[in-house]
Amino acid sequence: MGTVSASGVKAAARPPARPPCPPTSQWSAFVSFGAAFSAIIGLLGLTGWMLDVPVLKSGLPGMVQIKANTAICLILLGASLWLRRKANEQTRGQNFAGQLMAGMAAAIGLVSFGEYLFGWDLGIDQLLFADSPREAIRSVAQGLMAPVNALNFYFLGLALILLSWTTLHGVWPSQMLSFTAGLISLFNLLDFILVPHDLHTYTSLPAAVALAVLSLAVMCARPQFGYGALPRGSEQQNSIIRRWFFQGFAEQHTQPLRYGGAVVMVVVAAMVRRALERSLGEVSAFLLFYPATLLAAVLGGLGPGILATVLSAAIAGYFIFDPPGIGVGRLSDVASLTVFSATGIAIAALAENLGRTRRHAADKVRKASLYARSLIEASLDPLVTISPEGKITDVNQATEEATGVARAGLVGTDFAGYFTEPEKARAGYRQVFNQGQVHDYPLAVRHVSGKVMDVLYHARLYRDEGGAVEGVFAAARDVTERKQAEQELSVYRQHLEDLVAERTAEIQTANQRLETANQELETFAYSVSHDLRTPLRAVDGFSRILLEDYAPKLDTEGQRIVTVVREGTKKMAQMIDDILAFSRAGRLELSIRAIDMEELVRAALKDLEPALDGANIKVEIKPLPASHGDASMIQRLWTNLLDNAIKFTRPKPQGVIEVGAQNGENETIYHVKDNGVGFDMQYAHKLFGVFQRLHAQDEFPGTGIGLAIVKRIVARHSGRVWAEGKVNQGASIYFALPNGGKS
Amino acid sequence: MIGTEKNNIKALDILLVEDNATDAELCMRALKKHGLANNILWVKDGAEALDFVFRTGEYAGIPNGLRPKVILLDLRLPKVSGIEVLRKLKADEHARLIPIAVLTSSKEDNDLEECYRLGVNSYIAKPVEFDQFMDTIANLGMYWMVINKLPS
Repeated sequence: MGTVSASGVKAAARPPARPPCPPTSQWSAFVSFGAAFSAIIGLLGLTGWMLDVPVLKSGLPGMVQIKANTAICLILLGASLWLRRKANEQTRGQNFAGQLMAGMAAAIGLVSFGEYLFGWDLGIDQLLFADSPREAIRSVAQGLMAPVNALNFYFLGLALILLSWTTLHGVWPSQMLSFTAGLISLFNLLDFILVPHDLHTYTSLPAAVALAVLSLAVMCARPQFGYGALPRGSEQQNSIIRRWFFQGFAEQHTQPLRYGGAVVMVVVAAMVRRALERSLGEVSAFLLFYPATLLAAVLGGLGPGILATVLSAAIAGYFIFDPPGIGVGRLSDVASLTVFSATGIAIAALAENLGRTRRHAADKVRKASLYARSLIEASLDPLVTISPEGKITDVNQATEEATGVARAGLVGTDFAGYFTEPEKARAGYRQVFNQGQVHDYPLAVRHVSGKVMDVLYHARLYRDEGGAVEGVFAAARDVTERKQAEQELSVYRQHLEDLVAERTAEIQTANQRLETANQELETFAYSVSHDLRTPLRAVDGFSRILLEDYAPKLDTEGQRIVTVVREGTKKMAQMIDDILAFSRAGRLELSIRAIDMEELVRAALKDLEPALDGANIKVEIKPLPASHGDASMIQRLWTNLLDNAIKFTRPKPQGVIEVGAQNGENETIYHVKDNGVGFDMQYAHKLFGVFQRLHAQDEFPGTGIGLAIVKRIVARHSGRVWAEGKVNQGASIYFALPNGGKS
Repeated sequence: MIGTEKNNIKALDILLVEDNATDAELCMRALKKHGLANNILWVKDGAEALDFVFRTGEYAGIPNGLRPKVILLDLRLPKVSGIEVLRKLKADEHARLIPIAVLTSSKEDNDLEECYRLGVNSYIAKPVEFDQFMDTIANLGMYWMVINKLPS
């Protein structure tokens, strides 16, 4: 990871669409040269015929001369190629003229070949210039061009007509035709090199050279098609040779080089063989073709290997074996030719297989690399690899976006420079080396615009296959938003806490005020009732003294009035006592401990014995669960409840009071039930009020403080109290005390 | 004016500390009925009580030997409260020998406890009802004046 080449990155990040392919300048220059060269050779030949200068026709003195029709065809084909030498830049007229000229050349070639094959004489050979037998050295017929050239003209004419035409499958007939013509021309040339001139050469040197050049030029005229399609883009900077040797196997566009290379190698082998003819003799006809074929197969694959084999066999059979030219030779030659051909094809097949395996492996590596690269680039998190020296070696697009610096500007620079705290970044980097990895390392990346991105870094060492540390692979996670959200959340939380604290303080203040007010009220009630006693005693005492000391002076009515005064003071004294008791029930500190309810009820009943005296009341005490509370207060509670029950049951002929309890979910509910006078439920809410009474004073005595005190005591024990009753059918008072969930 | 004249005290049985005139009158009436009111000194606040016992202020000239057989002390008093008077008397080496009976309309347990902690000799709640009041005072007087023995 992270060591993918620069070109690989580009390819993955921005896969380039294949641009429309302009022919590279050296190819188009060669095409132009070929067209011009062919036309000029043709023109020179014609000039030679017109002015009768033999050297212009033969190239070398005393050799075969170019035929007039050959010269015409060369001019036609050269002009045709010249007109159409550029892929897209000619007018329709140019195209038509080019194709017309090519068609004429093809027709001349075809007719000439027909003359040769069928022995016709159509008269076209002597049409322009009469060829004298003296000068028609080694001519097939007077004025008739060599059959090889006729075929070539036919092929090249067709190739030029079809120059811009490809089949649906991408096959380019023009290239095949020109390639065939090229091979034929090659034999023409080899004829001059390998064989004594006087043996079997029918063609002239200028025609042979011109046709070879023209064939190549036509092959190269449309490099965007077929095998001529050239590699483009950044790889153009690589040398052609290097591409062919190291990268070219899988690339279709290297085929002209591979096939061309095969041809060159075989030709070189043939030439070396020719140079060593004397020392080697005929025995080792294929000695040099073997290495040439092997090289072509290994470097070029199946096609070039077979081409080299076939070409070698053809050259050997045509030029080396006896007799030269086409014909059946000796048996030993046929055998060695067969062995060579079989071996060559086998080598080609093996080389192809080897190449395929290598291509497949290379393809897998390339795909794996591409896959890994795509993953890296797909990451939204900035990824970076760093060398052991702290220099950035690779980044993904997210890193470019995070820093605002392009890849080229990032690679090779100090990684720490892109953080707000470079020292901290370096410390984290050292930590990776010490511990092998870091997690959630907080840093902040600074964008070139100054914007800061909070990130958490994960990084770990990466090693080569041998385990040696190659650098650090680091991935950052953008936590800016998370951090912002956290900050916002914390602001809200703080605000909430402030609010709660504020409210709590307010409540506490209010509570305190309430408590103070309550205390003041209690103190007030206490002291008021206390202070009221003294004047009350004075009223009572002095009215008594009045009765004692001044009785003789008061008549009966006077005495009755004083008595009423004294009754009032008594009642008031009782009320004061009650208020004090009520106040005390709210004021005294509770002393909570475990209490035995039954014992408290019995103690209360003992206090009430005087009240029960003479009454026909049956008190039934059912089992009572123990509880927790202030014993003296709870006893007071029972006393008040029982006192009430006794008071209101007294009028009944047979009074029944039941004391009982039952366990609730979290509380124990105690009750005192009686069958006394009862009460109307619509006044139930008044029962527990201070000085609230449901009966007239002379009916039942009392100030109406008893149940108010009960309610207060229950409330102070965190319980609740309520009453149920019906007129003349008794009353039930319930109070519930929490029992801590025990049932 | 009932009770002994301040500047002319010959003998003293009871020091009554009571700010309420009616209570004081009722009190002395009860004692008088039983012939116990001959030598009563009535003071109206705690400060005066302390002045008398420690012979300060207007009582500076009274002979030292003159001591009441009992002090009837109300708790709610102007200037110096009854509790304070009690604390000061019981803290004094000599004065602590004088029996003190608190006579109060307070029914508070706090006061009761506090008084005993300070060393009160008796604590009586004034009954509101007249008859009870008269009986209680009479009994009190009888007890401290007749039944109880004091160190000489």
